[in-house]
Amino acid sequence: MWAVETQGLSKSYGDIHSLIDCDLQIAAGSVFGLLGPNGAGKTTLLRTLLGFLHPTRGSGSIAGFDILRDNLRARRQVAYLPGDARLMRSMRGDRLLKWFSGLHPYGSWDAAQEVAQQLDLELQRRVMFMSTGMRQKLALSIVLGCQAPVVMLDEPTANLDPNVRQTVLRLIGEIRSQGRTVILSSHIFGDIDETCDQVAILKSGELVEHVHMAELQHTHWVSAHVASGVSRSPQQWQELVDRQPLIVSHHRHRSAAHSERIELQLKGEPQQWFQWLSELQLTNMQIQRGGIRAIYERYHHPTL
Amino acid sequence: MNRLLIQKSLQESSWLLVACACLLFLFCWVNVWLLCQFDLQQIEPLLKQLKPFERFIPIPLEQLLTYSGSLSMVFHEPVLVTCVLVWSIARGSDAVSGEINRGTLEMLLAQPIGRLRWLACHTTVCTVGLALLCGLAWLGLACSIHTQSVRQEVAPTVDISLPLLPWSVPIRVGPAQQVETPLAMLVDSSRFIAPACNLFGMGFFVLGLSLFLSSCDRYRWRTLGIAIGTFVIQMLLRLLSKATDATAFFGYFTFLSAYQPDAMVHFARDNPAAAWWLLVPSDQRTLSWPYALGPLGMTLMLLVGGSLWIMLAAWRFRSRDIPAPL
Repeated sequence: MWAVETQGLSKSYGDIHSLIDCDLQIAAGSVFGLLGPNGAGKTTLLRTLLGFLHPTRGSGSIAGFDILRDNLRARRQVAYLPGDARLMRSMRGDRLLKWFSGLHPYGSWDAAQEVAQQLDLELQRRVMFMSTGMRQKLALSIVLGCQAPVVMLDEPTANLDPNVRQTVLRLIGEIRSQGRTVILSSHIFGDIDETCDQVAILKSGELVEHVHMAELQHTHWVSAHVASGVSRSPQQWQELVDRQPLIVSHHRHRSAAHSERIELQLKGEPQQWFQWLSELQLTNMQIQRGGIRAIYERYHHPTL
Repeated sequence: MNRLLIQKSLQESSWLLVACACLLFLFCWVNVWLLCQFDLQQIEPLLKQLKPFERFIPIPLEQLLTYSGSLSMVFHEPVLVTCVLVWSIARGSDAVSGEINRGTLEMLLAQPIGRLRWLACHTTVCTVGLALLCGLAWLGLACSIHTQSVRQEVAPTVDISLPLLPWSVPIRVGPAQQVETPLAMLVDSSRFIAPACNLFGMGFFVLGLSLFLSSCDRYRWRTLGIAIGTFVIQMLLRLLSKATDATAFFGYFTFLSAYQPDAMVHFARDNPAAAWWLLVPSDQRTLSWPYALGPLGMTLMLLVGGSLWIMLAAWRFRSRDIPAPL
């Protein structure tokens, strides 16, 4: 059984399609990343799963409970941190933690207090007197203190300083080690690279790429211009590519200035394919260790 | 879980509740005290001048010369009506659009709370608060009635029996004297229970309407605006329906036609049980109570109206998408 599963999940507002035929299967005990620019459909996907939005078509389930027919039971399996978590302003931090932990069947006041302590949060203040970062920490304490099997985090490290951010990423790792599932929506490549097992990239409501992060660990991304004066036909280019067994993917673009730009994804270590690269007569070469950024930029900055 | 949700609703509304409760209790108390400071007969000439406007109030103007008649007008006092409206509209509008506006609904519904459960808990707190306010308004009246007294001029008389006739004639034997009479001897405070229930019915109707508007909206300020605007329009329709016979039909389009606290006191002056009639037999209808529905029927009509709004609110809230925090 999948921790979260969707089939053709779609959400439209008239002619605006916020989510289009989203098929996802998220294994229990993994950290699953959702990546995409603003308006790509990440939050819509999470909010549809939670029943805040009624899907236009398609279906989904959380821990086996249908999100439409059995929404309340499905939500019992989830601890959710909204992208813009706003809390009752008149309540004090400790009271709020206690109140929320009483509302959720998996809520635990002790655990929430422990998380708050790890995030170095002062709980005696009223929410209205807390800074944005403190409010985010408080919301994180509520959500990460909950022992629900599925944890959905929408931009969890927004407004946090680097130390706290690192603590949050560590806590996400601890959740995974407990066999619980995390869905992490983020713009920050570092967060995704550090924590996720799988990543889905969304673009204009569509799920365009599903990446297993383990496969990225031993790859490199090369982007470069082809030296001026060098001209290859598509057939010649293909022959060059075919000679390199470590190549995973390749793209050629012609920029406005008529210079040719290539992007390559290569397995193994650089010394295994440096020789081959030198034969391509490239300039302005950039080599990046395999990370999600390069894949992301293929969809969201294809001309770079 | 219900306890926690009710606790939240109570906490958010506690200051408003305390303020409205104190105001209503004191206002009703002071109103009775103020009335006791005047000799009602002295305002008779003034009332005569107001005769052309008598159609705007449901009771004959002469009734205002009696203590119970004057006190029944308390239920039309702007302070009292505004207090009840402020509670009903403020709390009703907060249920959904208020939470969306503040961005707190997202975090709330991220917990395994059914939408209807949230609405039910919120409505319960609002309704109990409203009942408390109306109860306190009546309590303020009742306490004041039982503690105040009025000065009346009483002339000493002797009854002289007429020979061969079964009658006696009172003969004044001295100058009139000022006598302190407890107000409770002149006014029965239980007569104001039915009007207080009617006030609750009116508040409940507005509460239901506000809940429905809140369930449809995402901005609280808009919900407040529409709810207040609707009430003002209903008030204008009520005034129009009273203005002329030609515009009387407007009365069918306003729920305020069922808000008749002063007429209730007047209607039940001879028969206190009439205050709890559901229907009024045709031969019992008077100029000041020409309706087929009795006082209880009127209140029930408001309660049913309010309940229908709440059901509509529940249906709308359940079926709508919850927008992201603004």
